[in-house]
Amino acid sequence: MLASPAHLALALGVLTSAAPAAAMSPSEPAKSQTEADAALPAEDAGDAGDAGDAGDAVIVPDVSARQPVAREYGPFFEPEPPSDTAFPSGPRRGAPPRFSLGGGAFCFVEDANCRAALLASAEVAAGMNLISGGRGTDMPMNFFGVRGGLTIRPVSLLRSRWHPWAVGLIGGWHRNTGTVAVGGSSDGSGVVDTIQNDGVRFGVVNQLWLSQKRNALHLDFTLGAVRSRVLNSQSRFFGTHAELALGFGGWGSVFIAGDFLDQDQRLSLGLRGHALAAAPVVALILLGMLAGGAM
Amino acid sequence: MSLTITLVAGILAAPAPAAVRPAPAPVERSAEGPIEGPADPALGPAIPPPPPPVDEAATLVIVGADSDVPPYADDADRAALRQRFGLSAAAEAPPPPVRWRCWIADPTCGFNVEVNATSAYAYRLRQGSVSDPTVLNWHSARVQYDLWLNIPAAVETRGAARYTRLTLGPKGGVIASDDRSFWGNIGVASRYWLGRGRFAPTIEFSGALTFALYGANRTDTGTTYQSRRSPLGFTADVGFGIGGFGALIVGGQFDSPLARTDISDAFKIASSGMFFVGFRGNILWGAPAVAAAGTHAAVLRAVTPP
Repeated sequence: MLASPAHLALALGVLTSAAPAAAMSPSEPAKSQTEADAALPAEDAGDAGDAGDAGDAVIVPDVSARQPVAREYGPFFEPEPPSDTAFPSGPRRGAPPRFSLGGGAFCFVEDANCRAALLASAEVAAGMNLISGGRGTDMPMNFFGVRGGLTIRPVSLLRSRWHPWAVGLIGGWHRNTGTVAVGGSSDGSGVVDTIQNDGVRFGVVNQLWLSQKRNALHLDFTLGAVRSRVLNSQSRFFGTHAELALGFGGWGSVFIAGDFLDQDQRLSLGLRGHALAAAPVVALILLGMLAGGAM
Repeated sequence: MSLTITLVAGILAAPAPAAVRPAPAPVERSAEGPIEGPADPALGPAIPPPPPPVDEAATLVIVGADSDVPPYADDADRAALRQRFGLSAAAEAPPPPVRWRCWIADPTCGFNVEVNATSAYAYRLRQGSVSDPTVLNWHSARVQYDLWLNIPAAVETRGAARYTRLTLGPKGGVIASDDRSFWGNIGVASRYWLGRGRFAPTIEFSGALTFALYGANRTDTGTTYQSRRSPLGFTADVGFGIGGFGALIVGGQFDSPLARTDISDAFKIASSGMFFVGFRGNILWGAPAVAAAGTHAAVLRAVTPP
């Protein structure tokens, strides 16, 4: 019980002074955050804060003294860490890629630190020729071929810093083993074995380099078109070409490729070697056959 | 009234019950400092006094060091350390620089790319046909050209130098046969180094899937030279070598048959294979390349497969 109006006024005064500490309203943190934003430098506060509104207490540091902040983070963007040990004959740290011009501006053999690179390789592959629609028989299929192209690193070229993404154009020729297809008769008889199927491929290759080391691993995704004979037709048709490859620097890669033509699909597993390594092999084979009287 | 007074007096005069000694008052721990006086054994040892404040201006002193700045160890200290761990008194000399810029495999190189050529004697076997159990066999030769991508899989570290102990990586290439045919192969190759020198002995293992690429196709109307299909076979070999220069190899190959019942006999392929013994080496120093091309030419001229 309050004995007098004076006691009532005293009690209300106590309650009023205690209220902010006892229960902060939800609007208070927002207000505090606003004040904190206002205390930040103008560059960091952005739209939320205005240096002029914060009064004289705001101190704006010298922006020119700040270091540029990298915009990408993660394991791909981490350079090779320094090590106390090294292969005595291994690549020097920071050395330009092998077979490159301008310190990696253009490479004849792909590498992690190339801003543009030549693609030139030979390949062998084994797989299956899958015939749909009852137009033939699924058979083993193998091929050999050559491929060329060019890749660039758009982000590296534009911003002058390392980036794992490369994109390029490829084109190639290959010789498949033949297709066992049903002949032209309407009753399905007359199985025909085409001797061989030559084809050409064009595509866009996207590369993801998995580290900045020399001869780093990289994943290559290729999508494009293939033009080849289909079944037992003598005409050439377009189809879709897709490939996933794991590359070892620029020297070789293991790939899974698919050519999706009309009723005639070809899936294969292969290995691709750079032309600098494949050319001597081709030359030695031709030399052996020539000396052996087989040519 | 008198009864009440008597009763109260009797109660007060009665003997007191057995005395119950009260428990000692608990001792409150103080956060201000250690407990004064003798510690109660039931409460454990007394809290030690806090350490003296750290003098920020003090200098770190390495006891026994002759220098106040790094490195604190000198040659005598390092010599004592080497003696303690049983190392030789003199530090190991750095390895000599590699020749050929690592185009021939060396334990000091790390990642390495090489093109190997194989020349081998081959004892070949082939089933007559898928329905004929007769096995044909003949003496022949085998020539193979492979690209090896050697990735260090196990590394030995001595001092600041790293040496490759085991390499493992993809490999692939072309196998040439005695009937003008070519086979592809895709597989894995490994090399174990038994030393750290350029000419250190090695043990090599390789295995691959094999498949026909090109060859002679014999029919009733004649022989044509064209693409040739085959199912996947496999080949494997083991070699004993000198550095990355070359190795004597022993191996075999099996070519799977294609004998499904849903295809006609014209498309069926009989099983075949071979055992081989030969030499495989890096083409860059010449001899393996010359041997392979020569073997290829010789087998094409001298051997007529059945």
